[in-house]
Amino acid sequence: MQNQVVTANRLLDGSVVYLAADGSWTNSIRIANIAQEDAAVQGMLKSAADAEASQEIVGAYAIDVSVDTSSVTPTKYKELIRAKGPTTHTNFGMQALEDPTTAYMNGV
Amino acid sequence: MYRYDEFDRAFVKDRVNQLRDQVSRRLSGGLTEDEFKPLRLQNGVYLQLHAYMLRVAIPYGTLSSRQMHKLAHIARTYDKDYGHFTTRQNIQYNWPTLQDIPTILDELAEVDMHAIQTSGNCIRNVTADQYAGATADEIEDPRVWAEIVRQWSTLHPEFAFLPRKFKIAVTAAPNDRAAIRFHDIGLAIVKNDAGDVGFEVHVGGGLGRTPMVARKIRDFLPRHQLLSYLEATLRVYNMLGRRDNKYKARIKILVHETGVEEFTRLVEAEWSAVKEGTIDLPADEMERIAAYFAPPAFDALSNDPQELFAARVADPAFAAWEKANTFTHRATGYAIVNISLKPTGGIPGDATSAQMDAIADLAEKYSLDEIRVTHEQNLTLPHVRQADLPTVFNVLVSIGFADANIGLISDIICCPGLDYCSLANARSIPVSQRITERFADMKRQHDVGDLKLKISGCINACGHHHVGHIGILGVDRRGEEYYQITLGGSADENASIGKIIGPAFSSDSIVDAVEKVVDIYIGIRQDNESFLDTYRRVGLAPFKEKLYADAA
Repeated sequence: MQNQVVTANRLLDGSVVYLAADGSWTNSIRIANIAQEDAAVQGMLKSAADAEASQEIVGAYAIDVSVDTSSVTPTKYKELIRAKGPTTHTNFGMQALEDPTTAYMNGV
Repeated sequence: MYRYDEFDRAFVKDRVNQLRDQVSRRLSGGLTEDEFKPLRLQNGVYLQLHAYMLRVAIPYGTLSSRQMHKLAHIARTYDKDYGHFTTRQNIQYNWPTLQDIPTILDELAEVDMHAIQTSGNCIRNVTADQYAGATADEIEDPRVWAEIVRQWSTLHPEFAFLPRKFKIAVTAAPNDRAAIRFHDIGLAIVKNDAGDVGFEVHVGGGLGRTPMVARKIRDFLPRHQLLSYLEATLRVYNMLGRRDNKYKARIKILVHETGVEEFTRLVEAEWSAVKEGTIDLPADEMERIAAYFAPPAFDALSNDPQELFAARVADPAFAAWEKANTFTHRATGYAIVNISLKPTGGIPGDATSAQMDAIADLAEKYSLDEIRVTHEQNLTLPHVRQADLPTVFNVLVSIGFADANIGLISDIICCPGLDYCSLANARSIPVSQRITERFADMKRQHDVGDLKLKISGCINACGHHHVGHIGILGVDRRGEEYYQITLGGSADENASIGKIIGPAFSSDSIVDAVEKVVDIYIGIRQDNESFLDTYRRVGLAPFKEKLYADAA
């Protein structure tokens, strides 16, 4: 199975968040919990449903990521833009706070 | 300008309080997202890729300097210091928090503004010609009627849950600057042979996945009967418009499937049943609203004053800007000034709070306190003395909004695309930025001449690509951004929908392809023939042949 992480938007500010291993929701995909099998994804989506019910997040879903020793990168570019921030305003979003995880948008 | 009365103020205030309560219940768990979503959308609050987005209505695109200062204040205080002016004469904020939104709406209410009906399946912000009240080519100020329609349609109980969203535009000039033929209802104010003023009514225009030019269903509607006729039209749509399929729910599909003759018959039948009722506005109420839009007291001035003449000679950049960005005013000695929000490499329609404040100051000092938002994502100062043009130009230079490119290839309409929008398939802003950089040489742009280029990041066509002389549509092809080119669209009185030229281009090759299309045009144009006229003379074939020649 393709590695997956669970993402959503935070209810309060709408920011992009990922489910971390400790059950918290983080803006950084680098510390997202990575599921390597379906059962793990289902468990994470269950946690997400609880977080939705407790007004922490909205609209959770799982996305495919590619993982190597130093980075976690969404495979779809829409998710890459969500993870980093708008390519037109590189001072906004996570890209403003930390180094890009990989060459952005495959060099675009 | 229209000013709220006590009733309007209380109404908007109540609505803000209602949303404040709804937000608070959402945050405490009293409302689920499914329950809350339609409520927030009715107040212009979307959830986009990175954050919430708040869409604020600017009725018929008219703003006072006080209102513009407030928009700047909101950008600075609650957002990331900029706002995005849209094709629907609205402004969007891309980063407000949910908690702040009721407070933002309170601030807007202080200056008679709100976000009601900027989303949802209701009658949206009524748009109008940005030159209304300032241009010599209009019959009367179309904003009077846009305001009347706004009041009539606000929280109209019968039309709060239409099959789909509904957009109305009004113009009073033969040169259509409001794209009325691409609205659900387009109203053109006309005079009949007897000299009476009324409306030509166009219905069923639109873009999106099924672009259509509106069909004229009435040559002349006496103006005092506008509301009953709109009611009849909306009622027919509300009863017969499809609700089973979102993509077939707009009135354009109903007009198309019913046939324009039958649709017109249905509207006229409904109208004859209701027109003697009490819906139409009494004459004194019409006069009361019209008084808000009475022409300002223009000073008696002459055209081409000495200051203007001197500036033209002294500063070629000013002369070029004046030629491209100003438009003839109805009053001698005045000019209409277009402020291009399309600097080279910039984001079409974006303005920072400092830029908004500077423009508000310009309006207060030099434009009788008025600003307009155009559907082409620019701003307009409608009433500037010609003698003040050099001063206005210098201020615009200092804030980076003095590009002399109105109507040229870099004056691009562009949707937010995949950088912000959760519906988009591809990015659009970066493509527009690269095109403006490729054509950064102003001499070249002026040589190319009138050319409307419009970019959408998906088939919903918020960037109006179907009506671009050159249109670009972003598509997702197996996970990569590709761009399809259309040629020959036009949103004006000679409306047409662009035709797809051929296979899409990669992100790397789209700018080269656009440049090649322009070069092909330069090669085949006759005398001073514009891009659109050349296309209409020769058709798609010569462009297609040469554009794909190397690929073959």
